[in-house]
Parts: sequence; C-alpha cells; structure tokens
Amino acid sequence: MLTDIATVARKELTEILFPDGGLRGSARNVIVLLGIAGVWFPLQAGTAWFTSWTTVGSACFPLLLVLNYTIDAFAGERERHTLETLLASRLDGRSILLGKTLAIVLYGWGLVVSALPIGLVAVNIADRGRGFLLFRPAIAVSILVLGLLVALLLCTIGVLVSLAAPTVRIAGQRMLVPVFAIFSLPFSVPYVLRKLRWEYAVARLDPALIVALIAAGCLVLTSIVLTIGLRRFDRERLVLA
Amino acid sequence: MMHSTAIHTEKLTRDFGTLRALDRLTLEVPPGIVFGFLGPNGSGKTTTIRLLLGLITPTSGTARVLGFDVAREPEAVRLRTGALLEHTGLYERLSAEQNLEYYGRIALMSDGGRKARIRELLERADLWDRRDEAVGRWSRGMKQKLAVARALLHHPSLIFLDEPTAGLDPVAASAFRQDLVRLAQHDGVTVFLTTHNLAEAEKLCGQVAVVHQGRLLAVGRPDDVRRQVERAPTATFEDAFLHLVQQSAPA
Repeated sequence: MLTDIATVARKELTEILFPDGGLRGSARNVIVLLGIAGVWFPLQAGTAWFTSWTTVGSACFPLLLVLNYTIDAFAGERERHTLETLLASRLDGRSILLGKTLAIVLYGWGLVVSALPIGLVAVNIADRGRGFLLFRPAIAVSILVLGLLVALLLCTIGVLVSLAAPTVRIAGQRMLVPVFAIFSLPFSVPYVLRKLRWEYAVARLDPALIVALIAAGCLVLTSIVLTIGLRRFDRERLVLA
Repeated sequence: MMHSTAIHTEKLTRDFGTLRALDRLTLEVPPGIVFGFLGPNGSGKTTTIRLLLGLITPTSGTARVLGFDVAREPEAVRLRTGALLEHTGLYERLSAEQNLEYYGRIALMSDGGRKARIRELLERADLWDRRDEAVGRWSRGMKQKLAVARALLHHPSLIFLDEPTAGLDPVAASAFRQDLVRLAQHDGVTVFLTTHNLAEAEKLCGQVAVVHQGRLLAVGRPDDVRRQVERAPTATFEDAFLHLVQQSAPA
C-alpha cells in the first residue's frame, strides 16, 4: 500500500508543480504567496517575527494555496473524465485517497517551510545591526508542527468535500464553510473566551501549551475526517455519480 | 495463463432503482478473440463492462473474468485486465510518457520492464517521437492509440474497449482495427469490444453478442447471427441486428 500511495502522490505532485509541463504555471502563485508570507508579513512584524506567538498563525498563510488542489482532487478527475479509468486500475481506494492527500499536504507544508528562511533573511536585512537573529526554537518548532497539522486538516477536509462533489465549482462552494470556520477562529475564539470570562485564565497559559492544544485538536479532527473519507470511498458510488 | 473462458457470466443482472439495465445475461467469451458486444444506446453495454471490471456490483447473478469472481475478487480482475472506457482517461497535462509511467507504476512493473514496455508500445503506435508532449495537444486518434497502449502496458490477457473508434476518422479507425486484430491473433489478447458500428463488428469480431434493453438477443459468429434471422440469404448483418432489436421491442 505504501508503494501505491507514493505512486499516486508522485503523479499528483507532478501535476501540481508542473501544470504546463514546466515550472512557470505554478511558479507565479508560489512567488506571490512566498512574497506575502516570507517577505511582507515578516517585514511588517519586524524582529517580533522571531519571538511573537502570532507568527505561528501568520506562517500558515501559504496553506490557502492548497485549497484549490484539495477541491480538485476527485471532483477535477471526475470533470476531466479520468476518474473511472483510475478506478478501473488495481489501486485500492485508501491508496488513492491517501496518495492525493499526501501530495497536497507535502506541497502546502513545503510552502510553509520555504517561507521561513525567506522571512529570516528579509527581517535580518531590514533590521541590520543587531547581529543575525534567529527564531525562538519554540516558535520555529510550533510553525513546523502546526503548519503540518493544519495542512493535514485542510487537505483531508478538502479531499472529502471533493470526493462527494460532482464538480470542482460545487466542491469549492462547499469548502467555503469549513475554510471560513477555520480562518475565523483567531477572531471568534477570543470573542467566545470574553463572553465566558475565560480570557484572563487563557492569557495566563503558556503559549506553547495553547499551540499544543491546537495541534491536538487538528490531529483529532483530521482523524475523524480521514475516517469518514475512507468509509465514503466507494467505487460504485464514484463511478455512478 | 490461458483460461478455458475469458469471461463467463451466469444470469448477470443489474438494476438501478426500477430500471433493469442488465437482465440475466448469460455469456461465455472464449480467450484470444475479438468479441463484439453490440447494442443500441442504453442497451447495457457500459453497465456490462463496469460489472465485469468490478466497478459496480451485480444485483444478482455471477460473473467470472479470467477465472476470478468479479464481486469477490475485483482487484484480481483489474490487475489482469486493461480498459479503455468511454473516455480515454488520459491526464492531459502530463506527457504521453508520464501517463504510461503512472499506470506502469500502478501495475507494479519493474523500472526496467516498465521503460522497455513503454518504448515498445509508443514505437508500435508511432508515438515515441512525441512522448514528451502534453497529451492535451494531441488529436483524438493519437489519444486513443495512447489509451490503448496504456491498457496493454502490463501485458493483460484481456482488455475492455468501450466504443474505441467513436469519433475517429476513417483512416485512424481502420488502423485501429488492424491493431486490434493483431492483438488478438498474434499476442493472444482477448478483446471485449462494445460498439454500435455494425460494419466494424462484422469485419473485426470473431464472435458477437447483441443486446437490447439489457437482454441478450443473440450470440455467435457474425455469420451465425445473420442466419438466425429468417430472411433472404442476402440479408446483411445490419439487417439481422435491426431485426433482432425490433423484434425484442415491447409491442
């Protein structure tokens, strides 16, 4: 099964990275996103980029780009009439589902990781004279771990939505709700905490603990969504949809 | 390994709600021939291929493909068969070689074996020089040839072709038919072909089955099917086909 997952992931990554046979097609989007996440955001934050816990959230911004690919995972194959031929191969459903998810997760997480050294260089150039500054280790680890887990969560949700949607457009519309819910959390959670009068208690918590709780939440949600996706992968339903 | 029958179905039935798409199909397809599965639109041809590939399950009845039960061992069936379905199924942003590489890896071919087989098939189809081009730019005929190459990549002993010459110009269709004959006669591959091009079926197929509204109307060699119709000896295969279909229509 691992070989099959790798086979599917490899092909998906080839299509993501080289959509027109070369890098030009994907490079434009990547450059814009890395410019925002790796240069613009860090320069706005200045040296606080390396020490503030809000960097952990901002660093996940490149994951927005993966949404396109998640909703395309199955709905796109359906529209391009390649899905039935793929289902007529020996691959089992888990390999197809996990392979597609893995490819998009690697791409998204790759963007998050790539933005880090760019931001490191950008801020150090802008704020010369203090020596070469680095990320606080806890911040760097949090970005890497949370970036991976948020990518995993977004991708599993997107692929599940794509599995059930007849077209990419409908998958995109259906994906708006979970995406909006996730990206509104930084605004809605403080509001809820204020209403429950828990804001002071939470503010006293170690930020690393908060990140760990968020990471655990992502893992639990991902497991649930993945389980649903694997159960819903039904060859007959996909062929006849 | 040559099985005594490539395909054996026993009262194979498939319903979609109240619609009976396939009605107690009992059929035997011998190995090493081009077998034509003929019928008008909506007669159950695509449903039959999907059942035989294990993509959908029968409502009742059984089918064995290369000795494997399609309901209980669909993966074994798909491992040993190739398919060109209604659409070519090619990834148009990938090159010809990348498309075949993907399916070669899916079929768990060794690196060396896969590359040699890809070269052999692309050269045979006159596509080797264009192997690095994105398939989306190709003509329909070229895509069909590549899709057949993909279906043959892992040396299957049986391939399913769903209306493979639809949309091809006469020259491309003729060349395609010659390739199919060579496949069956020289390579021993069983070809299960659906078509409603009767002239093509008569020229190409060693045996044919005629279906209409999910029911099998006749099976045998094209000449035998033609003679089943009690008409003048000059009745053509098309006459016989139309007669069978019209006779089976509800009053």
